[in-house]
Amino acid sequence: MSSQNIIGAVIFIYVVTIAIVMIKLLMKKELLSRFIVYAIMGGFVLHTAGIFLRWYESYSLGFGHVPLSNLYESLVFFSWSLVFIAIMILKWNFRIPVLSIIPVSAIMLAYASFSPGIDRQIQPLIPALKSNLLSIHVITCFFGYAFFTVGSVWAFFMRRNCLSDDRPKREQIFYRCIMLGYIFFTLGILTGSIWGQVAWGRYWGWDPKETWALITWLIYAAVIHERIRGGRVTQTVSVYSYFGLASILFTYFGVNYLSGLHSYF
Amino acid sequence: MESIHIHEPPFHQPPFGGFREPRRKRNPEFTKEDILVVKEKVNTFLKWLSSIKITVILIFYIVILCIIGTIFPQGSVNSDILGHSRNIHIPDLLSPYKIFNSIWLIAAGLCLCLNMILCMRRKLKLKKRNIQILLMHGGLLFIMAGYALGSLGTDGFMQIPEGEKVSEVLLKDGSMKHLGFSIRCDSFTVEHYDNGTPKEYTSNISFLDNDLFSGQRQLRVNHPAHYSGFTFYQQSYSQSFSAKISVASGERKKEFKVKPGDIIQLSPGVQATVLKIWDNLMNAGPAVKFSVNDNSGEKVIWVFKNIKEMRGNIPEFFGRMPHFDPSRLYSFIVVLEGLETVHITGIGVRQDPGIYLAGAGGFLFFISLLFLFSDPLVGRAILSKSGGKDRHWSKKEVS
Repeated sequence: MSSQNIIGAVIFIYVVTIAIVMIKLLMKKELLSRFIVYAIMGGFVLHTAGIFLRWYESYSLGFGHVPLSNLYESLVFFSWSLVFIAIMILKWNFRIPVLSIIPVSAIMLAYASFSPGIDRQIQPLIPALKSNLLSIHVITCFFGYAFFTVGSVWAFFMRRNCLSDDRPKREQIFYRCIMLGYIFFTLGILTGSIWGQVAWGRYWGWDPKETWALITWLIYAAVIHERIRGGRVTQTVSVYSYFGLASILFTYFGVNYLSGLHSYF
Repeated sequence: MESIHIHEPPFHQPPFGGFREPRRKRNPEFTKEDILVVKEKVNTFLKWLSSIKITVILIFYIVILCIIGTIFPQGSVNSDILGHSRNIHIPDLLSPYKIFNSIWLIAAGLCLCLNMILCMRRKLKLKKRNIQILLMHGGLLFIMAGYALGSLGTDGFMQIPEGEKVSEVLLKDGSMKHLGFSIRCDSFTVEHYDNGTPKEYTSNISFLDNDLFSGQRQLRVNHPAHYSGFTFYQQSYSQSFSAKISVASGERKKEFKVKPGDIIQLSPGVQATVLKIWDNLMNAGPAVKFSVNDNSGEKVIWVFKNIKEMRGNIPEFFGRMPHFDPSRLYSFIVVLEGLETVHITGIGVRQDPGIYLAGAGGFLFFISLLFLFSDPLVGRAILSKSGGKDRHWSKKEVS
């Protein structure tokens, strides 16, 4: 069984989970909640196994490397980190992770697995990617993306009053998501600039990917400052965090249409 | 929640205009009252400059500049997004192709620095000040100062053919800088994986001080080398060819090994400059282009390696185009015996006096960010209900 088959099974589990949630919403059955939690956990475990199996497969091909080196692998890891955060906040809120984050992860995995434009082969590393900084840079950046994404989605549901009335709690989850995103993303940019210094001789070169990472970082800085100024998640804060989400999407996908040095992601 | 005050204090006064008084007759001497009014106005202005509102405005201004900077390819002054050449001259100051060095971005950066410094000064005056926030913004100031200092350094590129030495670096602005020593490329190799993708680029280089050997380094991607305050990076590589040429006139035969730019004597009174060498010109194999100077003037000729086969395939062609078969033009015969591939290594040369300052700033920023997040008091203060403009925003709230 190859790692790609496992990822296929993970997509199946996530889709089934979403279907069950739909049924649950329609029939108002409380019984299924526990099953949904187990299904997500099971999918996550399998998802993790898939990533590790791909890592192992790369070694058996003779040029082992962390499975974080092309668009397919980064999509699988991005959706993995989204599910990870979803499980973390499952304790506080059930509907948001299951109704928004899990579907996003499933779509991302399906896109990675079935899109004709994506190379799913395990390729050896090109010289520019051969560095110890590869794994730490990619992991921190994608954790940053994932926390920001969940924070922005949370802000959306918060503004729609879809959340429980426990305001301090929901404010806290937003604050933690954005701050953790900020910590990870800052670390991602810092490791990236160290790597840039080592590989290209400059820690900052205004490459489109770098510039868009800065844009994302600045927008979430504005989110945090506006949050402090407003004293809570106001309309402005939530709008800024949607800008941030759009900026993440562009940093991840859009930049590939501009010329630059990060074309392998 | 008196413990830590990191909220923006409510700020109701507009920067100017709140103090409008009926016009008085101008008095050449300032009264005490005037000075007080001016002081207050300056204070209000500084308070306005240090506000988070200004921070957010500046951030979005920088974001817009950055977006423009990624849409227009930077540095390419003469082409637009679609690659069409344009003849309209745009002054550098307004050019969307030079955003990241433009006065607009630098001014915004300076304003942001001023905003941070004033904000830090205000926070320092508070009884309970938060050291993490101060250090964080201090770290950002260090990074920006380090980046600014970096512009005083060297950022250049050099191409060295295998076996040759170069002592000048091509800088970003197109000028050349003399290093004070020279670098020789001893060897350049490309390794490939089984499937053909490149695995490693390696340059072995030697440093020569006044033509005396003074050091040897190996460059690989992600493995730079340091020498005499400069850092050298494996950046790119290219290939060129050298051609083996033989010239026969009567019984005498001369051989040359040439590369583009070389000048050779084909026969007495006939000089040729090598213009270009191809490994496969128009699918006809290797060829060399010369500019030949003799008594009758200058001619451009092409010498093909496979000229015999070509004569057989397209005999009428050379009658019309004798430049492609120079034996029809001259009494001597020029033959291209073969080509040799020469690797040219592309090396980045950098010197950045601001890097340690920027690095220290990055470290400071990140560490204080971690401490800020892990400090429960800060979290509680931020999450407390008593936010600065809560009342103001609550009007817009849809509940």
